[in-house]
Amino acid sequence: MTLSFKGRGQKSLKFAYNGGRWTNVHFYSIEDLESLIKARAQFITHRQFLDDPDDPFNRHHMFLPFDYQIESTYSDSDSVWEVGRSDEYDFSEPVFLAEKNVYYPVKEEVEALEAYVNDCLIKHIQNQETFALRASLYWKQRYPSCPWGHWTEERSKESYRTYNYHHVVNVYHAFYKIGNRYRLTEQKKPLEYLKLAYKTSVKWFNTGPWRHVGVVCGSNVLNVLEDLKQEKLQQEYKALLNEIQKCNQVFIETPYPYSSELFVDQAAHEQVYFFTRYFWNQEKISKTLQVITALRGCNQPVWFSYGNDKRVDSACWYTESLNGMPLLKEFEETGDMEMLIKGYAGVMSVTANLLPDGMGFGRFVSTPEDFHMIL
Amino acid sequence: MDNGIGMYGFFKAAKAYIVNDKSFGLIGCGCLVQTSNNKVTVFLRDGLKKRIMFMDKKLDIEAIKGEIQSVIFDRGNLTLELKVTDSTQLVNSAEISVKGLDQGDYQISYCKSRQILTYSGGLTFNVPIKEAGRIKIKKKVKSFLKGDW
Repeated sequence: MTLSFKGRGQKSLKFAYNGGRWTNVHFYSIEDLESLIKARAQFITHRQFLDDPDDPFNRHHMFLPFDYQIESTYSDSDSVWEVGRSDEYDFSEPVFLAEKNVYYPVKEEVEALEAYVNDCLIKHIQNQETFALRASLYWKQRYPSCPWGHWTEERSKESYRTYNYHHVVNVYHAFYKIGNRYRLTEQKKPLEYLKLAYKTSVKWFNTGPWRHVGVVCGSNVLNVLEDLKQEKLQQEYKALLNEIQKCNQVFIETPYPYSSELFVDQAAHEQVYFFTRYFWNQEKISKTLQVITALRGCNQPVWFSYGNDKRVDSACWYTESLNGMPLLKEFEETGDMEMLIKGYAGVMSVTANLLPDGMGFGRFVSTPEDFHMIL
Repeated sequence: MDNGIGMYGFFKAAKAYIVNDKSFGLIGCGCLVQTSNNKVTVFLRDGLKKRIMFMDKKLDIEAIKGEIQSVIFDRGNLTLELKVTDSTQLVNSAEISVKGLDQGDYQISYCKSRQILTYSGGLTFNVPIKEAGRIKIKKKVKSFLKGDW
């Protein structure tokens, strides 16, 4: 039996089966997912890419955030990092575009992304001697009672936020794969991108107060490590392995290694799981799975809560897919359906944030009138 | 706007699973499943079309390059048949990885070509994308997977 629906939105179905048994299925219907992914990449490339050599903050060839209500990008914000190319908020577009092109390569998207990396990231955001990442290219003059987010130029040059580094590692690593698989990188060779991923990884594990705390998307560094080994870069492999081992040791020794820069967060779990799994510590593997499943509650039959971490009225956010990864890994090994239910629902939930015109939102909020931070 | 970070997790994890459910029989997550006689046909609908796992046998298939449109597992002939395409027009050859098979030699056939590969923890092979519309994988001796489906 195959069902199709006209238009996206919340749907409910009642299934009758096995002689009198029934179940209700509540879900959110979206358009063809492959088309949504490709539309999102085109939207980023054509509508969020800044081509302005005269930008006073050196944001030429950067991706700007997009305000869907005014149908335009914006380049000024009271939180300067939102328009200054750092934080999850601003690394979002290059991270999406880079990883998307590992699977669905498009030449003009790779060209735009390489322009971002070589004209903006390497030139102005990341110091190519120390590999430190600047907090924001954008900054403001402070005045009495100005918002906290009005960072000064000095503050914008700080580089201690550990949580920025892994995103840049993942962009470089994606380029390594894009170059190897499709020969599309023109400004650097794939191996050069892998070495940049390596150097930025080492810097990450030596920077800031969260250097040995799990970070979102942090587990991919294990793939960087494996690729260094595959490429026979022995010295780099051993150096990065040493850094990862030190981090893993902290995860093992810390009774509850799931802290974060925010008092409420579920950002550490994915990296803790995959690190402790890589070096095999059964106690921490089990504990991490226990914590993730507990965070996902009791499978309430509401589409945006199902398989989602309980985080006030915020759903379909990035920890849903990232923390779904450990659950699916466990499902593959044990066949535990609870892991599939909570993991698969979480991984897929983020796709509800993609619109057919290519716009992408950060989360789903069921009561937007009460949610003053529009992402 | 955070969207790309969530989608990064999706890209890493998106996969089609074929699961034997107690109430509904063979079901698919991220795919359509059709059963007919000895054949199980799976059409990938997970958005990426890169990874598929038959849970009962832990048979794990990945297209490192190319997109898996469908997989047919024939329990009678003990063969796997993959239809791999490329929507990007940038892929010259499909690169396929298969895990979960028995040890032994396997025949990979497509168009008029064939390769014999030895499975040892994994099977990875390349097929010209123009010839990847029908790739057959068959073990050279009787046993294909451990146990019966």
